[in-house]
Amino acid sequence: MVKFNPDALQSMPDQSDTTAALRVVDLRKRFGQLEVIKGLSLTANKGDVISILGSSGSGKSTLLRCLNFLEPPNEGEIWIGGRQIQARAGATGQREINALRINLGMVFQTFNLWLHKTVLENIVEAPIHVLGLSKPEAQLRAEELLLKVGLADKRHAYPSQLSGGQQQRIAIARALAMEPEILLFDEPTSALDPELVGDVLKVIRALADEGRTMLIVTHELNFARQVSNRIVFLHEGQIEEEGPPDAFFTHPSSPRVRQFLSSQRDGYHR
Amino acid sequence: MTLLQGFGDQIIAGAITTLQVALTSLVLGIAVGLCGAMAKVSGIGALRWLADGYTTIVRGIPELLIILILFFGGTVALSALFGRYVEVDAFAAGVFALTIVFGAYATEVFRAALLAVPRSQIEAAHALALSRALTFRLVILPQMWRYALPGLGNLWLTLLKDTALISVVGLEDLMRKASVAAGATHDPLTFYLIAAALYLTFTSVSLVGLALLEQRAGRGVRISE
Ligand SMILES: Nc1ncnc2c1ncn2[C@@H]1O[C@H](COP(=O)(O)OP(=O)(O)O)[C@@H](O)[C@H]1O
Ligand SMILES: [Mg+2]
Repeated sequence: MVKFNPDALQSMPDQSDTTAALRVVDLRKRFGQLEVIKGLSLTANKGDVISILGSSGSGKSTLLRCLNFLEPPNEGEIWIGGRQIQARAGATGQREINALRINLGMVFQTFNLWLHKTVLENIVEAPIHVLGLSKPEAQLRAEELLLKVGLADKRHAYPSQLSGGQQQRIAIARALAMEPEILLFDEPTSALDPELVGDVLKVIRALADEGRTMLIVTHELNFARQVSNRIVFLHEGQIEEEGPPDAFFTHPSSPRVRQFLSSQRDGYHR
Repeated sequence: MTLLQGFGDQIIAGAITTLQVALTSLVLGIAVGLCGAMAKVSGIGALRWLADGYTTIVRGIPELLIILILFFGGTVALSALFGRYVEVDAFAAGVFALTIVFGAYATEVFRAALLAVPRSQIEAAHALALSRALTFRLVILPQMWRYALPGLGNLWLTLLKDTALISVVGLEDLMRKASVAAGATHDPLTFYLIAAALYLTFTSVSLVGLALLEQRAGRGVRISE
């Protein structure tokens, strides 16, 4: 069980770790008997763009989903620096979980826009109901974000009227509207037709250039190499290797990583 | 009007009562059905057990019997409570019985609709820190509505027609007024045909309204299908 204690950070001595936007300590997640995240620790400093690689089933999605409690982790600590939020082993209340979620914007592989709501409605609901923004404030924020992702003209469209790439850019705008400390991307382009991938990657790249803190699960190796300052490679729920992108891609020390990279090279064009 | 032989006002009053009973039972029954469905999908064993018992019993007994049992059971219970003979109001008894019946079937319709809402739609709400209550109101309810409407429409037609059963316990509804007129005028066919025409009018209008509602509920969804 994971417990949340908002006061813990205040009582902590002010240490070198104050720049850490996200700190995960010894995270564990089991599905029945199957342990999927096996004591994983990870720190993201403010402005870090960390790409998470790994073969299918290595636990990448589960890791992201544990961070915002879409899957409640079994053990571990989750620290979100800026807002002084901590989660650690023990029972975690819904209020604490929601405080955590406000700080972690999530972008799903399948976009998950609400089908019965227009683009604008998708973006403004959470800022209005969770952050307490007035409707005009939320709409203003939404319009600015729509400009940013290049879809201002789609504000009254329903998701089903948009291409996958457009839906994903709206989903990114929806996450940004909460002004989270950290953005989590779970294979944001894997469900897209190849010709639509570029537009979405462009938006994510622009966010990286703004200095946002992001964790990106992706199979776009070129993109990961260009956009991130750190690569983390997962294998069976543990970090197999991590490091700066150039070192990771040019001389990985783990044979598993070498094998993974060579197997991915075929689809390595972008 | 010679055709109605002076019973026109009575028939109209009966028709209004029928609509009142049906609409009241609809609103209350939807509330019961929503609660029943949430109980069924809740992880709480006692609630699920209760809801399962409710729908199993009600769906396994003829509606007419349920109405009679609730009416006479209500009379016995209230009389015992007040220590004297209490006659149960036919309108209240009718609404109560039809709500119980409608609620049981609606529970099943809503349960299926709840489960039909894709998990990913709900996760998106959770990831944005929307509370369970807000997720239900903003995402689950409007989406399950779309899945529930066709089933609810059928239940509504059944409910409208089941109001005729309440006349057995003395409700002055369309059915009863028609049969009184039929007896008094010795012209049963005319009055039963008039009643049938009125029921048919109500159900036809309902079907049109339902089609409009389904169209509205399908906004944003049908285009992709
Ligand atoms: N809800 C779940 N129930 C049971 N097993 C799950 C569940 N979600 C994921 N898993 C299992 O956990 C492992 C890691 O899955 P996942 O995190 O989705 O991997 P990745 O995203 O790296 O492909 C897989 O073996 C998968 O089958
Ligand atoms: Mg995955």
